Amino acid sequence: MTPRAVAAGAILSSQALLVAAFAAAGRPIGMAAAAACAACWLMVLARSAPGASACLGAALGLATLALLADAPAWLPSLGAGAGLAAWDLTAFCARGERAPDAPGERALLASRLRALALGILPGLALAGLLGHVRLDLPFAATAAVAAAAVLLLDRASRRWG
Amino acid sequence: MNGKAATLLALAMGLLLAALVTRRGEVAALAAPLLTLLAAGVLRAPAPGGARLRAQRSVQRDGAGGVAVEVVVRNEGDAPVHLRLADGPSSAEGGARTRALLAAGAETTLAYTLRAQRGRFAWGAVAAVVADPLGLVEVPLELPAPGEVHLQPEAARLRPLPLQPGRTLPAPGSVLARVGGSGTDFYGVREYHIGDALRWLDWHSNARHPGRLFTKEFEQEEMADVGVVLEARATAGDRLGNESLFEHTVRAAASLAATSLRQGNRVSLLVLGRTEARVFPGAGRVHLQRILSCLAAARAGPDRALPDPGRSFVRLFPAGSILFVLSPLGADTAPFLLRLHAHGRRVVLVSPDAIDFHAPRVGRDPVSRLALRAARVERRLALAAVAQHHIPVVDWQVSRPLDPLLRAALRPPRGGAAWRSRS
Repeated sequence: MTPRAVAAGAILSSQALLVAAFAAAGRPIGMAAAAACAACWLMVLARSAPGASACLGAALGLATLALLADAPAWLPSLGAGAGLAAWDLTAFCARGERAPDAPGERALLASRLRALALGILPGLALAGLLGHVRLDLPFAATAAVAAAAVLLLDRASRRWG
Repeated sequence: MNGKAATLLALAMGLLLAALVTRRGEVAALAAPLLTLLAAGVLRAPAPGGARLRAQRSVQRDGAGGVAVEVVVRNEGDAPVHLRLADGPSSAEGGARTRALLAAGAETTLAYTLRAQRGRFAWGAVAAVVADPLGLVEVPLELPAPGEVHLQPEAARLRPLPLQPGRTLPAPGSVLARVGGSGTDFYGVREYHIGDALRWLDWHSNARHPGRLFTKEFEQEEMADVGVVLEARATAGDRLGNESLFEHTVRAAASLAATSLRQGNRVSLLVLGRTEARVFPGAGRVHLQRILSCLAAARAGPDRALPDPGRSFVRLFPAGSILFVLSPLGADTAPFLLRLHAHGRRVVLVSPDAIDFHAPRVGRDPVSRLALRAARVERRLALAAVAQHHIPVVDWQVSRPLDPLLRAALRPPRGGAAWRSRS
């Protein structure tokens, strides 16, 4: 299977999950938006055009809207995870360089898929766990936790940037 | 951390912010896969200086007029490496890129062909990027793999040129020196001197003058100074598809230099282009390589004034030398030629016809045809103005062979040695 086919599969899975989430929430406009996002993303993939990050942003935005529309939380989460994989694979296909031979390219793809699985699946498990944890924090404490998270991320980006 | 990681971070922050605004924990949970993906990339990031890679380059000319470049990169470390490679010559466009997953001890090859007619190409280091498997943290590396190739212009084999320089050098060559000596052409008869070879006694004269002895004399063949001036200003650098008028001119310069050297002469070269390049007079095969290397590096440069051929040219083109000036004939070329001529050089103008070269892309409408005709008349007048100063002119349509045109231009004018006189 070629990297492009795998990426197309990931795009379709991600957006199908979002369509299902909007269908569960009874929001046809959301379904149409997710379908349009899929079409745009497939076009970006086919033309190796820039815009994959915008597609991922749109997919995550749609996942957020689906959650706000009270869709079952596991559908948008899985959609976001699949979208993340699709984004990475789209970037993988769009790169100008290729491995000198087909086995080399297959080895690269396999390594990439393994790394994606190792990176995304724990995140999805964590998201599932977080869905069952309920903390009633006052707004100030929530803001403090968010600020700490942002600071931590900023530090991380400086450390490895 | 690269742009991809920054995008992940920005999206995760956006989701956290949205969760804060909407006060929905599920939205914050959406950021979890992004952050774990980022963490996976960072945890498997290559340490700076951790990858041990070695590159080897081979550069060789292939049979089809290109240069085959092959770079072999070997992973000498203990861990597999995700690698991106980019390579190309520093002085020209072209090159190749590849990516690979290199296991410990494995190697990958980056091979490409550089298409170029002529030039001096050098490679320094291969640009490598070692990254984590997700390409989120990248470490750029320079893998030294030097290489260099000179694509010398092709020197066509011309028939020996009937050179008639104003002066010859006291060294054996192929130019008739108009002095008696040990040549092959009969030169005259003179009285016998002690030491002359008896086999050259002229028995007819001896019979006519009893008591005196006469011997035959042959014309000495000596070396001449030949100069080649290549005008490589912007007007000469025009291209038509893959064809370039300048490349034709460079090949003609190479052919003239090679033929003159083969005839046993001393040859010097001056290139007036982007930079002024000079090769001082010399002879032999090594000198030919010197000239071809200089021509390989010649580039058409901006239009600038031609130099004054005064004292600075004395060593390069000694007085009496024969000078081939290859020029598409700019506005200031004729005065330059006249100054060279006035300083005692035998100048021959070889002018590649830029108008004929560009004629195929001129429109067929009456105005374009008229413009083409006017340009041809203007060129003919300019060439005639040069020729009236007794400077031989070769009006060269580059689609035609140069050899017969050169021989016709170098043929002595009617009346014998009017053009040549021993200084």
